[in-house]
Amino acid sequence: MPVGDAFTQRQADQIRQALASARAETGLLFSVYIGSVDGEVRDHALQLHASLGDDAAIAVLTFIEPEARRVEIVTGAVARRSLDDRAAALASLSMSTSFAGGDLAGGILSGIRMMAQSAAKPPVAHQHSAD
Amino acid sequence: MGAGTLVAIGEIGDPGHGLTWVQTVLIYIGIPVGAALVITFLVYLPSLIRGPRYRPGRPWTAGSVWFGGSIDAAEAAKSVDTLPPATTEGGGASARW
Repeated sequence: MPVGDAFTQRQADQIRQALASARAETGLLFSVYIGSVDGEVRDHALQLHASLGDDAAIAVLTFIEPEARRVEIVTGAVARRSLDDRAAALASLSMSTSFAGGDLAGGILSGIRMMAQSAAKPPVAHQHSAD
Repeated sequence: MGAGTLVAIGEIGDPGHGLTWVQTVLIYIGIPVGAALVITFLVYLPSLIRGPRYRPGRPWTAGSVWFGGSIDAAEAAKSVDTLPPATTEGGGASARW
């Protein structure tokens, strides 16, 4: 798989490792796409997410457009239950802050870890009184 | 006595033959250029080790890569006509920088 010129081999390995452990911790299919696209970034992200087919429901796609300076996180219908939009927003904010400082790999890594952490936590059950 | 010695050296010392033009070039051009190259190399060494660096606002020339996805993302995305519920009923977030 071509790594592109944006990452060193070591960085690419770290990202793959983080994705694998995020998947192991949460059961969700994490992936990260980096590339420039024409048109609306969100539309491209949704299409790429949909192209995962049967896996789309449990997929969490992080779509990074470095030229438009956009990051889009797309969670599948099932994935959304454990990784809600607030957690995704927090991760996207953290990533975009790193990206603004020029640190692509570091932002991706911390973003994946944040999402894995919040998705690994059991969803907060509604509070019921014990009686 | 000290002054006498210096004078004596100046007078009887053998100045030797002059520098050949090869030696002149090596000393006055070769050494400075060599030093400049070494310094340049040392300056760029950290970024050579760190690898390519993303600079916000510059055009993106590095191509695309999809970690954890199929190899050809462009082809994969083109094959999608309508978004399935698995995607549309999901959620997510956006951010810009």
